[in-house]
Amino acid sequence: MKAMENACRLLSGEHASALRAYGDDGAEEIRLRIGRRPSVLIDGWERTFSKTPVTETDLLRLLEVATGASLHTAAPALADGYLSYRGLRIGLCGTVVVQESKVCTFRSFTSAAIRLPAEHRGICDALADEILSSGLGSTLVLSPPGGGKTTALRELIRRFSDAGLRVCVVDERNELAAVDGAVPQFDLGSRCDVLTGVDKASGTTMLLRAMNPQIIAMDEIGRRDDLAAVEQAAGCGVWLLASVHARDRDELLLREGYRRLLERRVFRYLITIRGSGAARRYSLSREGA
Amino acid sequence: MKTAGMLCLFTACLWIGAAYCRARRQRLAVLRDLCKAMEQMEGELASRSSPLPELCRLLATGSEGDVRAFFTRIADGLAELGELRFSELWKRAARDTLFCLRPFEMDALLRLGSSLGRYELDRQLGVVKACSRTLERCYRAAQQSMTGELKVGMGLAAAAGALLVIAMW
Repeated sequence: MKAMENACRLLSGEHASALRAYGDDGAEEIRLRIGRRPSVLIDGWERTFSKTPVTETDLLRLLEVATGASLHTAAPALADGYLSYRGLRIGLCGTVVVQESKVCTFRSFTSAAIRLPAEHRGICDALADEILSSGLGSTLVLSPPGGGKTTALRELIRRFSDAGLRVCVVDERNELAAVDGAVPQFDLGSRCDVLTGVDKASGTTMLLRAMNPQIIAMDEIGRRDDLAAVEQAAGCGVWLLASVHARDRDELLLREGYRRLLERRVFRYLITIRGSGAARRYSLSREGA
Repeated sequence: MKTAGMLCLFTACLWIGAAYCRARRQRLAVLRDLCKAMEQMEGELASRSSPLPELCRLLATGSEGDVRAFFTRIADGLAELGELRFSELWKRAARDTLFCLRPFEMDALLRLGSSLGRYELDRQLGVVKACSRTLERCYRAAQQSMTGELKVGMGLAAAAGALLVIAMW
């Protein structure tokens, strides 16, 4: 509910009222495309919720509110194509500015996808108990985009943390803890330390040096640097808890970096998420078993 | 009775002269404080890349008088961000608190407001520097002409008062 209210703050008055009237029953995303009616994603289907099409002013407004009128503070995230706002991840599309072969920022915006984080307590309790009882090990959560990886990862962090383990989180996109004004919006358990806004490689080094973690958690490892961070942490006596975009193990093996991680037995457990909405299923498999 | 009336008239003219001088001094103080604030803003942006809400609060705490009221007004107004653009909040705060600025000084400040928060850091710093340079120029010019303006203001007020008294005696 809070996520929906935060999302409404990003929308123009008319769109916000229409969205509030529509309700947030199972809403996963809000999609805004210039010239089209805004829509909300529920169970994989987009449904429009306002009669007024989205304008460029609506997107600029969203951008200003999301960055607190401080685009300069969001430049690194913007170069990766997203913004974070109170635990919401806002994906952006438009024309990018590339300088010296690197994406710097956007020249103009054409659409935005506001991802609404969900908190489903207990969805991973059985998996967490199984991992704890059969011997803790690095765990990788797999699902396609929008499959519920972050929600599952958040639940695992909370469970492990409450089970007495020191869990340190590299929350690059501020989605796991959704820290707002130094206060995490999601409960990550009683023994959890969160490092926000830093890339995974640097964050992992900082945590290893300073925080004496037993588990390091990070969401969506995808870039080469992220894999390097995983490999770095794997050899340092800490367990890893991470998520990655992949339908299943076979799909993951198609990618060189991940194949190497699996071959080197960096991860002991794989959790695969299938289905969507209330029909999501979570299965645990043990690597090398 | 007539003498008392003439005395009142003369005092009123002197009071107008004093008010004019006070306004000149206030403008100088506002320009000085704005220059300081711009310097601090540039430093904060360059070293900490501070977000504007935090920056406005900081500048409000570190400033005095009208400039303090200006940044406080913006910081408080940021709760309305979304309903109003940042540039509109800035403009409203400037118009409500910095009455003593001359049109071209106000224009420089409003230009800064319309650019702040919209660009990446380097460009942002460039805009702040440009505004800072303009305001410093205005401050120096105001400082140089200050003594003369005060003398002329008080002189004219006293002369006008004396003339009125003589004419009406």
